[in-house]
Amino acid sequence: MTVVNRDGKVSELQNALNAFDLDQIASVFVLPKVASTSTASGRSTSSSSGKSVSLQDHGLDWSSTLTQYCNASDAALAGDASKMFESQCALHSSFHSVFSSSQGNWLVPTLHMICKMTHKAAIAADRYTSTSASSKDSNAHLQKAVTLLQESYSKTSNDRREFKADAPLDDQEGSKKAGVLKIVNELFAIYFRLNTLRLCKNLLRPVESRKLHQMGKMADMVTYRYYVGRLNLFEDQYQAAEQSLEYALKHCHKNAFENKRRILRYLVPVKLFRGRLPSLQLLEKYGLLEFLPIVEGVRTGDLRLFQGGLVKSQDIFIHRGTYLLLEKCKTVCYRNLFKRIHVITERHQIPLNTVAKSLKWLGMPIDLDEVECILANLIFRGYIRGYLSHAKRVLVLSKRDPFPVSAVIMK
Amino acid sequence: MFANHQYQYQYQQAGGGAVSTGGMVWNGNAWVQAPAAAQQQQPNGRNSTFSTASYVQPQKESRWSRAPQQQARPAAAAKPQQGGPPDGLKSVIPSHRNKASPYSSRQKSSSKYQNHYGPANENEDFIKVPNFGVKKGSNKYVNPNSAKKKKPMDDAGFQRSSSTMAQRANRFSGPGGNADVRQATAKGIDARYMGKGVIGGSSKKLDETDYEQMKVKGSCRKLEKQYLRLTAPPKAELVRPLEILQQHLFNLKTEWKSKKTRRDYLWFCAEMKAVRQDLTVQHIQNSFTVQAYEFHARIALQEGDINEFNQAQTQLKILYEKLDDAKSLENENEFVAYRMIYFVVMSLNKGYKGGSSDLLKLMLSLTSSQRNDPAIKHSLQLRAAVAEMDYHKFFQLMKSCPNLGGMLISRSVPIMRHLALQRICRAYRPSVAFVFALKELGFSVETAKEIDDGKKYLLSCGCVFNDEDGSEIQTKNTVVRESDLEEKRSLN
Repeated sequence: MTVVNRDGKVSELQNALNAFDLDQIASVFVLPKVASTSTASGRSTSSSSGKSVSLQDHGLDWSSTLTQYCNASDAALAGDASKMFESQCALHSSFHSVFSSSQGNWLVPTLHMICKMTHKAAIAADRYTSTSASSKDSNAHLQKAVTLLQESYSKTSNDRREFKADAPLDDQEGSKKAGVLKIVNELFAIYFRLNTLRLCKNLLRPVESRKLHQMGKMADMVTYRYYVGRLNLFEDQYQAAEQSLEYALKHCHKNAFENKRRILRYLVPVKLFRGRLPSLQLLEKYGLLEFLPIVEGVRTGDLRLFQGGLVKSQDIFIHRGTYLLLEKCKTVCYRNLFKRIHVITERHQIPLNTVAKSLKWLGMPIDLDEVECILANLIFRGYIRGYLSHAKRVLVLSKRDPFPVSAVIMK
Repeated sequence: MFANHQYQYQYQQAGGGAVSTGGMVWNGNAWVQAPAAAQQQQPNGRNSTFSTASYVQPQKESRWSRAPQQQARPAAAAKPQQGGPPDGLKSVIPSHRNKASPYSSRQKSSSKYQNHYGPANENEDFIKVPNFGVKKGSNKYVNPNSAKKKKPMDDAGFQRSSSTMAQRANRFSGPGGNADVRQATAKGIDARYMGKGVIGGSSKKLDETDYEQMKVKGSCRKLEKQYLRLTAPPKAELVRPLEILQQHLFNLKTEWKSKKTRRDYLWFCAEMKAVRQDLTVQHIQNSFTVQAYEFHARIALQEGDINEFNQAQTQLKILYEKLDDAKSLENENEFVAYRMIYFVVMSLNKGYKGGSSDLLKLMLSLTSSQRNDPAIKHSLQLRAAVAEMDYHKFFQLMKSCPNLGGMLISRSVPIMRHLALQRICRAYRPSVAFVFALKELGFSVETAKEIDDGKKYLLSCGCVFNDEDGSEIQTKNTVVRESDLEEKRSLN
């Protein structure tokens, strides 16, 4: 069983501090992956803490932080996820004191790295210990991580120094507020995983009021907008969601394929609802094949295809929270269906029997009253210009632009 | 011997101190100097009968003396008289009586005789006379009118001996007295709970939820109980144990079914709340608890009490997650369907800001077997119909609602009708047969009366009818508003 070389770690950190390379310092605290139990040998570290190391530098005491890091790494290599998480928590808290006593914001990258590690460790620990399906227990570690990260957030955001956006992260001068956005993003990620979205709103206000989301690294800003877009989606604010997600997509790094895919998962339904269809190539490129039948159904007015696609990937959509939005796209699908009928029959008065027949052909027989109901809804919302006559069972379309495109796009 | 046995009359001014006669007293014949020995002063304000008798008995206990303190006070208030007998009389008066009047503040009282009537020490200026056979606490006379300011000595006459205090306290020992007061003060009773009395213990103010979390083993055998919010830790003798509760619930169920003779809903609700409280404080969470909550939820639904229903169903959700025996879960699907309908109703409610996350969570949590359950399937279809504003399907589904879901969904009927009428009036031109419209709106149109009622509803929404036979709504001229009819709930 491998253990981490403690002395080696000490010298590694010492070198990084001497060189004052901020990223190098951060990289010291990267945790190794939790070994799967098959590769770990039977011997595990019985004591919770191994030999403690000590290091003082820059007027800060790194001892406990580094010791805990070594414990965490040992636990990870031994395959013990929960012990790793415990040590990581201890590491995180002791680092808080180091961070507070440091001047300036040179430790911000290290803080970010440690936050990220805590997050990952929590997820790993939860995965390894989740035996029951009860939602409360299976996120216990993650909830502990939340507290730690919230503390990190308050430490960065409560720094009194003025924040200069363009100043590089250097030693004694800068404000710790530079680190806020990244931590906020981590917290967002956790909250979404825990499905406690109301806590996200508490983070929005301070960040927006200080305009932190418009300064800093592009990566952080993109991530922030992605989460904000998702939040808007949840609250049915589709316009704002579209804006945020578009921004995120546009500014996303062109090589960040996975991230763009993630953004698209939410952007495609929003756009679909607003009448913009994604091209086939787009869907294929990003592997968003679950949208294929839906998009095709909407485009051709093929209700059966649409409905089938929706039901098939129902669980995925519900999990993401986009199911209800996609259901609303059904209206667009109906509209396109009727438009097709109109184009095919080339008449302005369509007997409802025809409509019923076409639906029956699609394999979805609907009685006439139901058809009238659907049409009434479409007319009411302006997707169709015309009117119904119940006595004659006829849909009368306007001579001029009976299926206005603007209605769809505007909505 | 001086005219000892002569009664010295001492006149007192009413309400005042001793008369300032310059130390002279009337001995029946003439004014003579008051003897050096103290006269016992009568309490102020008392005149005539008692105040005149004042003879001195230096050494004997006198039966005639009043309560010493009271006598002492007026004495203290009395204007100090000239000390000492006048010079002329000095030779006459025996030496041991030659000392200054005790009321003289200038002269010390030192005598061979133990001066019972002198001040206990120099600093006092009134006499402390021992309790001569006076019953304890029998003479309570306190002069409220004493004009002179009394020095606050000895609590101004308030006896603090432990026996007197105990006797006073005993007067409040009956019901509603000491024992109950001690119990009622929060400091007393809460100190035993939540570590309040312990050094370093919490000082949190306890509220109802804390009291409910305290565990108690019930011992009350009475079936019925009045519901009261917990303002103090629960008392074991008021909490009913499980078997009593089971019996009581059975009785309640039978009573609810006998619609003729049963009491009103509010009484049932209060009884159920008491049952729930007893279950909570005894931390009983088993299939019986589920039964109790289900019963409460059902009767709340039947009476249209949405708040109680929501409380009960929230608890039921927690119970269903916790328990996994078949008996507890046998009605779970029914209540899952209710939850779904509840969220649908809520989402139609204009004030609801919760968004769709609850609904999504619920949908996600459905297992495949649950999705095939008829009640849940129905509720899912209902949800879909509302989402699409498919009013036709909505009203059809409503007619076939399983269990008690109809009571729940009927709450959203008014708003669905309004929205549906909007669409109808927008889509059908130039007019539409109103009977058809009523059918689409879920009204029953079997009898003439029903049709008539339906027409009233349409009129109340602002529908304009055609002139010929009133059978069509002139949709072009109609601007739909919400109905201002009173009776909005019924399906007709």
